[in-house]
This record gives sequence, structure tokens and C-alpha cells, in this order.
Amino acid sequence: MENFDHIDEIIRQKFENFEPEPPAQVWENVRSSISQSPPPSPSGLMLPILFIATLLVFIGGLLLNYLSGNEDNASTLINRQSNLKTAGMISTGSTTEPAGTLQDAIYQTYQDNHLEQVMQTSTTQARVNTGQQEIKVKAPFQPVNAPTQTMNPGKAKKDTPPVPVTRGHWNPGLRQALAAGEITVADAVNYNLNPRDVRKLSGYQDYARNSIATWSIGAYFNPEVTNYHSADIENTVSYSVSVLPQMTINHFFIQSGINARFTHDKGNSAISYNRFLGTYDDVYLVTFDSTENGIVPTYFTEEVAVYDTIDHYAITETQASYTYLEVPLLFGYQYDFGRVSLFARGGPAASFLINRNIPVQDPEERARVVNVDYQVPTRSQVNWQLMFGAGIDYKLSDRISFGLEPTFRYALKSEYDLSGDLSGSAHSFGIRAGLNYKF
Amino acid sequence: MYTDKELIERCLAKDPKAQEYLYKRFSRRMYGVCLRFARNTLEADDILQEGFIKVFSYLKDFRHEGALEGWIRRTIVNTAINYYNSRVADWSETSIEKAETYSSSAEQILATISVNEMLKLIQDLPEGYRLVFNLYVIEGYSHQEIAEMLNISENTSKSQLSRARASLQQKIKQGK
Repeated sequence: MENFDHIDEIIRQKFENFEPEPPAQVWENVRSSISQSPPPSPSGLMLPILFIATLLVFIGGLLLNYLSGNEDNASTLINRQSNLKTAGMISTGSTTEPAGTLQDAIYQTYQDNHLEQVMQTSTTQARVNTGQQEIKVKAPFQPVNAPTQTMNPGKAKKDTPPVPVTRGHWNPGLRQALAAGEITVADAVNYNLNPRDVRKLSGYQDYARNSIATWSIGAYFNPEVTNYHSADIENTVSYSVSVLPQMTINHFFIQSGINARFTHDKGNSAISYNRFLGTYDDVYLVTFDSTENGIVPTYFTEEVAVYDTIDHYAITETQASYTYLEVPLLFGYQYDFGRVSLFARGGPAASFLINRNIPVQDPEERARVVNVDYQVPTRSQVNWQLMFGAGIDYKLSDRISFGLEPTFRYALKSEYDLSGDLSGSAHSFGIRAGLNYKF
Repeated sequence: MYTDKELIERCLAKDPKAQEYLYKRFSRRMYGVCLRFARNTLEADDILQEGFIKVFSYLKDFRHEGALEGWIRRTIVNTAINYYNSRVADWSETSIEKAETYSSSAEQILATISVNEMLKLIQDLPEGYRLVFNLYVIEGYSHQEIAEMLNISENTSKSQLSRARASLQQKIKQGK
């Protein structure tokens, strides 16, 4: 025994500082396996639906615009002569998918190769896929043990999950689970698939990961300054908030969603009104009740405002507020540099005016407004723009990133009534900032 | 650069730099282990890859009760065991009296050969012999532990070791 111990010690010492350099490809394979994103959550399924719905709205907007032609310009003119005859009330006059077949093909190729490999293990040549390239190596004769059930012994059993599959044999369930994202390559390893199989799967998943769209959603805030080509319109400041789902394939992405933009125009309101002179109590009902003291009358009255019959005029400054619902369809490219990625995007956007509000200030206290003539630019109901931007995205975590992006917007069709003097397109500059969540 | 604790925390937070640092810190030593258990470099690559995927997958289970390197080494060894255990066609017990001692000439040769020559000798051992030889002689496990790990009896472990030693001695003599 002493002899053995001595020799064992010699052997141990020989390997004490034995630290050869492993091939770089091993780390690449490990890295690709451990950096896989988790399977998409069920809530992620809502994004494609939302995206398709947005796309439909966009296409619907195109059709609507095509069918309506220039009619919308005429129909969107603000009613400048809104006669208001309601006594005692002031009205603002407000218009009141990687295709399954491809995956199957890949899997079938894999399966064929794998079966071939199993069948040929009794020969002296085996084909080994190193992930990057396929090389042929001479392998020593190895007898084939017909499907050998993997043993799961002692300590090894404590550190690894149960072994439900047969080593060296492809389990179709695993392929489905991998394709569905239910398990990772690391899981497949733990199911004791042959590492070469795993290496192939890793390549398969790399392919799948790069080829299958990834989804994210961003929420942004975007202040802008708009410069109109017409000298009659002052530059305006607007701001918008948007929620934009994004589909990314490799470095390219397509983005659409909803953008609410708030802007305003300064103008005047020419108000025709009657002055308030006072009130009197008008008796509208009298009742008589018999009491011990005789008949007692009860008068029911209401207060009635009295106005001057002469029309007075006043011009007050006003600020008309507008809300647009915009549906952009943006195409872009992004490139990652670690935590930072640079991107550029651009595309058309349909803009729908969904709300306008023009407040009217009282020219005098309790005056009766007879007529309001709004002297503000009239805006079209639908207009088209081209949006461009290029910016930087900084990953705050695996899923959340912060984006900052200078933006440029060019109006293809004026936001204003083309029949007036306010025709001409406009362009805007802005800064868009927001958070992006990757599913 | 990192303490073990920091390194683990960063790896668990999926910090790619930390993951790469952990791999680079331990991969050379573990590759040496893999080469001893494997028949050739291709299989050693497979074991190393599979082993490190397990390391990163189960790092959250590391209890900080011992050194990180020891835990990683045990994971790699277990991976190698899983890789080869099922391939051992015959664990049948054989006579233990195969190699009671190394001959003095074999002992002298063993002391002078290079680590690569020694590695080749071990790699050429049959699966069962190699597994038990590595676990007992170099990794320092007892026969009882090896029996548990490989799901074999203690006597089988002893007989495999004995045969491994005999085989080694024979190869040394042949190569002399």
C-alpha cells in the first residue's frame, strides 16, 4: 500500500499545476447558452395583437384619407358664426412571425444527422460539429450499446435534476420544449443530452433567437417646437406621449403604436354680447291657503336676469388646444455596444385631430354672449407626416433601457386648412426620452 | 478583481463580464480535470462546456460553505461522471490481486515522464478504470464515496482501481 501511496502522490503532483488552455469555442458555446433570454410571458402575446391592431388602424387611416380626398378640409372648418341664443348661458361653441416549416426542416436535418451518427458509431469515423465548422476526427472504436439508460448515481444525482431521457437519443419533446422556450439549452444539458447535441441545439437556438422576432414596448415623452412655413403662424410648442410596441429581428426593427400629441394655437375671439343690468324676482305661481286668520297667499318666484338690448363687442385673446392621435409606422436599425445601443428610425405617421377646445373669456361679468367669432387658424382633421430620429439607448437592466433621441418631423400635408392663407407644411424638432421594456 | 462572493453575486445578476471572469479564472484548471477524465480533447471540450453551463445554472445553489473552486471542481467531476458512467459496459468485479504493487522500474519511469505522457496513459485506460483511477488517485475520494457516486459496490471500485494500476504498469513497461 505504501508503494501505491507513493506512486499516487507522484501522479497527483504531476497534475497539480496542469492548467492547459481550453479552446475559445467552449466559452462561446457556454456564453451563448447562459445568455439566453427566458421564455416569453403570456402577457407578451398581447403585443403582437396590439401591433396588428395598430397596423390596421394605420391602414384604415390611409384608406379613409384616400376615400375622403380633400373633403376633410372643407368639413373641418371651424364654424366661425356660431350663434348662441341661449339666455343666461355662455357656450364656447366647441365643435361640440420563424416559420414552423423552417424549424421542422432544421430539426429534420439535425435528426437525420443524429441518427446517422448513432448508426455510425461502430465505424472508426465520427463527424463532430464544433459549432463553427464541421470537422472529421478519427475516433477509436467504440462498441454501440443499444439505447443505454443514463445512470444517475450517488453524488452526481444530488447536483443534477432527474434524468428522464436516454442519453444520446433525441427526445422530440425536448425539441418542442426548446422551440417553445419552455426550457433552455442549460436545461437540456441537465437532461443529459449529449453535449454535442446541446452544441447543435445551441446553434439552433442562436439561429432561432436571431431569426424570431423579439418584442419590446416603449413609453416616451417628446416635447417639440414646430416651425410653420407660413409667416402668419407663430412657432408652437407641443408635447406628446407615446406607447410604441416594437418588433426586432436581428438589428432591424419595426415600431408602431399610439402617440397622443397636445398642441395649441393662439388667436382671438370676437364676442358679441349683451351687458348684464340686474335681476328681478318673477312670480310664476301664487297659491291661497285657508287658515284660522283667513286666506293667505303664497308667491313662488324665480330670479330673472335683465340684459341690455344693445349688442356690445369685445375681442379677447384665446388659446385653442388640440389633441391629436397619431399612429406612426417606423422602421429602424439598431446596433448594440454592450449596455449602449445606437439606433436610427424613420417612417410615416398618420395624425388624427380628435379634440379641440377653444375657451372664451367673459367680456364682462355675467354678460350674455350672443355670438363668438373665433379668429384662430383652422386645422385639418387628418394630416400626414414623416418622422425621423436617431438616438442612444442605455440598458438600465436586462429588460429596461432608457432612450434619448433627437427627433425631426416633416408634415407632408399641412395641419391647417389649405383653403386659407395658412397653407404650407411645417417641420418640428424635438427630443424624445423614454423607457423601453423588453419582453 | 472580484472576491468569490462579489463574483457570484454579479454572475447571478447575469453580468457578462463577471461570467467571463469566472470562466477564465477557473477554466484552465477545470480543463485539466476534464482532460484526465476524457479520452481525448474533443470529449474534454464537451465536458468542460457542459460542466460550466451547469456551474452557471446552479450557481444560485452554492451555499458558500466551502471554496467556490471546490464547488466548481465537484460540478465538473460530476459532469464527467455523468458523461462516462453510462458508457461503462461492464462494472463486473474482478480479482483485486491484479496489481498489488508497482514494480520499481515502473515507479522510476512514472517519476520521470512528463505530465502529457502521464495524461495520455490515463486517457488510454478503459472508461471504468479511468473513472475510478481519477476519482481515487487524483481527486482523493474514498472507495465508499466512489461507490456512491458511480452507483457501484465498494469492491467494484477497488477492483477497477487495481485493474487500472495494472493496466498503467503494463503500458509503462510497453512504452519503456
